[in-house]
Amino acid sequence: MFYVITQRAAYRLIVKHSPARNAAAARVLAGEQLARRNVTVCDDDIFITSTLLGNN
Amino acid sequence: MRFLIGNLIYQDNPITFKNIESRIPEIYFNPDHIMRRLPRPRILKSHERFQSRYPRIIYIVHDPRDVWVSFCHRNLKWRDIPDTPDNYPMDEFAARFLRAEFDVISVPGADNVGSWLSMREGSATFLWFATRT
Repeated sequence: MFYVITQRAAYRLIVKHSPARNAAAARVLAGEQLARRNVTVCDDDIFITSTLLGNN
Repeated sequence: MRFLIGNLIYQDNPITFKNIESRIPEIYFNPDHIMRRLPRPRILKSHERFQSRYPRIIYIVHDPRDVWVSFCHRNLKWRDIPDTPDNYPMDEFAARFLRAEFDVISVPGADNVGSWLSMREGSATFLWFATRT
């Protein structure tokens, strides 16, 4: 049987079910996901940025 | 931070949890074609490490102790770690937190902060400040 799974779904599965054992794999997937995110950036944009959490 | 800035901009219609994503959206929750329709200049939220494309940045450095405690409770809530505190002491979580085993989006905090400060600190388009408890 062959399953098609999106990268986002794979990332969620890995993080949800085995965060410690596959943390490195999850980071790789997350990095790829971020790299593929196509956010158009305009010259006058302002980004509020921080590390994860903290309600920025 | 989004509430502070949003309420300065929209003083007649305060920011709420219901409208914040339509005004100062987080890039992970909103598709690009929606965010492109926002009035300029846009204010966007992200957790990205250094991005050379970002023209202007307000960068927040959280106290790692706050992140540690908050992240532990977040992972307990999401059942990423056992939800019995006796079975999962904070010390054990701290060790994994420092190895960034859970921080899969923004990479280890030190790398995230270091990447921005090393590349943009002192720039007129980069404002950073630290929160302290």
